[in-house]
Amino acid sequence: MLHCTPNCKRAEAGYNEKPGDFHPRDKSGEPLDQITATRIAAFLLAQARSPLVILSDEADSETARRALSLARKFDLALILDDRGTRNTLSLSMKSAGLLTATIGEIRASASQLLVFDLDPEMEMPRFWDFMTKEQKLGAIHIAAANPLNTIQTLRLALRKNEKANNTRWHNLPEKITSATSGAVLIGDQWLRAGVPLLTELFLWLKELNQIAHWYGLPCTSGPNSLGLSEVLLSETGYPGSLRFIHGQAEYSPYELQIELLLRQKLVDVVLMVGSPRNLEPACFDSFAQQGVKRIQISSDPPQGPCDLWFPCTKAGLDTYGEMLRLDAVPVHLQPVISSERLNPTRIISCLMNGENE
Amino acid sequence: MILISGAEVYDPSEGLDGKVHDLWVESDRIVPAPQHDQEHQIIDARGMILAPAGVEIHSHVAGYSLNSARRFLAADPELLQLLAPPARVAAERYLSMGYTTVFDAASSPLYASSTYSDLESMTGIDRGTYTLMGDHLMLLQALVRNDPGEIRDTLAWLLQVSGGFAVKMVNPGGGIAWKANRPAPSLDEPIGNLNLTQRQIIQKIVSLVNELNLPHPLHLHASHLGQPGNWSSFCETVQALEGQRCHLCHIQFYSYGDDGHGGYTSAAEQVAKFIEPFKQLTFDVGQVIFGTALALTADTGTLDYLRSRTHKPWISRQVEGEGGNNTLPLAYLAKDSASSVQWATGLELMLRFPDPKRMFLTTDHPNGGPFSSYPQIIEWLMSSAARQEVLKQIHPAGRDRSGLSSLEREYRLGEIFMMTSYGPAQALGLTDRGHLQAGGLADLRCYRKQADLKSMFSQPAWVMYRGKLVFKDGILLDTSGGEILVARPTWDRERTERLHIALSNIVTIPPQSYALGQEKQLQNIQEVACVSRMS
Repeated sequence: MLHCTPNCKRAEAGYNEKPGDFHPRDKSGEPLDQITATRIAAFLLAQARSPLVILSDEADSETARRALSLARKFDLALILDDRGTRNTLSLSMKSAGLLTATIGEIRASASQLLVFDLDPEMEMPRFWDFMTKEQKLGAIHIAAANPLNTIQTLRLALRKNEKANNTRWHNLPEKITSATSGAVLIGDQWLRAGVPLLTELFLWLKELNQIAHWYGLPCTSGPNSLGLSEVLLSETGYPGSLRFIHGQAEYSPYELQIELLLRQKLVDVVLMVGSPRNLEPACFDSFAQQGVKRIQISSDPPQGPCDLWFPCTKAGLDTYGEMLRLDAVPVHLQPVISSERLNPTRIISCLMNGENE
Repeated sequence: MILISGAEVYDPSEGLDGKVHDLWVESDRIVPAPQHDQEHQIIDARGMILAPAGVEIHSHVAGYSLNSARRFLAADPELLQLLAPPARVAAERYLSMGYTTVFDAASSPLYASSTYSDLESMTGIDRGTYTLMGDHLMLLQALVRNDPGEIRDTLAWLLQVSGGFAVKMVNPGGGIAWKANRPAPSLDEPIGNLNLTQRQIIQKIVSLVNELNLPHPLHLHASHLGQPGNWSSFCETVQALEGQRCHLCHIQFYSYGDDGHGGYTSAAEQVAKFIEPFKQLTFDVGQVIFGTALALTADTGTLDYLRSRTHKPWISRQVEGEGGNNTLPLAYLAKDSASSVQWATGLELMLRFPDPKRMFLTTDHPNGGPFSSYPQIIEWLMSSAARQEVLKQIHPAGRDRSGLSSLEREYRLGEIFMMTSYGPAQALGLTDRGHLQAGGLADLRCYRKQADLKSMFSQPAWVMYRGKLVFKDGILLDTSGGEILVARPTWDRERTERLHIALSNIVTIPPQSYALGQEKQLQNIQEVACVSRMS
């Protein structure tokens, strides 16, 4: 039994997972040898007319790089399993800009936090402890049924320098104007609400910066959500939703959405790198109904029917890997246990270069 | 062995200016002509111009800070490829322009691993990066305590864990001042809450870098970048260096006078005259090109100022224990007075400065424009008529508020190779390249002679890296070579624990995970020795 210092139940649960067998499994759960499984997977990808790679945020950055190389080599489409969050963020940042900061910087300089649709105590307890325990940062939680209306109310109140027309936040303008510096933590729900809304929020942040330095920190859940899109940006210039044509990346944030692709029956083979956490259950149903062949490379067994599963190591559990924290700070993960499972980068390389890699 | 025969040879190190003669290459080096007959391959280079390969001293091509820039360009794939291409593509483009050594201009220690991922992908050329330290709290706090050993070890350790080749300072202390809501520091004002001035930082670090014999001296981005009337503060900074070896980057952006209404005039003449006598200083120009560009800098104060003036969105990330990285889209318009003066200022500076061994061609890519504009800039430098043609078409301020129109100087080819090969190589301490002397690296570029200089410099006939043809007739033949150049000055290992403690006070990740992390296996590293290079 592994214990964490400082105490973290979530991490302990992860560390005490027992890595399973390293053999690939077929649809019926029967073990296959690595060479046979690789041949089958390579055949499925080669025969596919509309193959799609879905990159999950449990993949470390090197795995993302390798998956991207595979997509480039075989002219595949590639999307992130993030419900479009990274595209939304990117497009909003382009329109309105964003002043952001690392967690350490926020802790060092902010005196006020505004928390938008996020329960940090539940969703990121260590982070929250770190931000608030010693620093005694003021935190105001804003959970809104109508986000656009919320921003407009806050903007108006701040512009007029009067109490907000809402009893929950009526002291907010005063708290904002008296803060030496502040941060707005933005939860997944707001990030998924679409470009117009997020752009509004960033424009409001811009206004706050006329008072003092106010940092926006998008708090996407998932271990390496930001890292994946930074890898894609770095290697292709785009944050996600890519289609490779003759090795050249084409960015299609509106067309390359899993629900849309399935509705139009534009996927026949899907390669999942990491366990997808954000796919709607209906997507798995569609895979089955449409006879989409599913290959998955992940440390955890796949949910739902899967034609071929390659068990692999997990960065921070039984292998090394780099991931980006939600504030883009790189974290170098080290293994705490050993296992016989293969590294996902090696499995992908085998798919790319033949089974003898 | 390879015999390159019949070319007009340019070797800036020996003043060889177009003389036709043979050049011999064996393995990866240039060698003297063999005394006896030896089996060799002949490359017929008659009618061609042969020169050492280009050396880029200042270009932003690696690291996740470029990703913010990419977000602004996602809707325009052509512009994206021009201004913020993936690092691998940037390396290929440099190689196909005849450059075989390229330095990324700035890498934050905290994000060093992202810079390294990009550097690893830039195969085919030698490459490296400069480590940002001007706002690093560990170093600034050590400077406040004024313990020479601590300052030395902190600097050397930061450079090593970040995999840097040189120390970069961007408006030292300016990022700290901005975070504290203080005005941009001048040379002698205390920075933020620190009992330290910019003059003290610059003087101590420039001396220390030279004492440590780093290959490249302090690479300094001075204060007041881009502001009308900034030439005088720039000259004060130059004076503060007290004649010590230092490189000052993109100095076009510091060569502005003020027209009395907050507008730009060129102060290139004053700056060129002022800096010329400081023989230990080298410079790169940061030429502006008309069109879209991207401001990409750790100079948060300047970008914030520019943002407020242009009302454009910026993406800025403030980094714990350091400064920040910032991006803002820009456009230099031919019909705009400020842009026209900036364009003229850069050219005027290069034309007025007499020594191309100390003034290098850059665009501070992508800040002044893309590095792929070098052939165009070379044409302007070599042809007064080409410059006059542009002056006729742009805003009259370009002509009226600069001295460019009166300058008749035209760079000779040898001077172009001096400012793009030998000069920067020497400034970088890379004495094995940038020349054609026996023993030097066989990194070469060869052009077909053409009257159209822009076209000629746009595509070499061939490029050689370490004695192998890697680019020929528009096709990349081999991008498998190339090394990542690093410098590793010595430091007192017994201080490691204290350094880790100091680091733990300013960042939120464990010291073992900082910068490149302990587990990062660096590939293709070439350590450049820290030895005296003073002549």
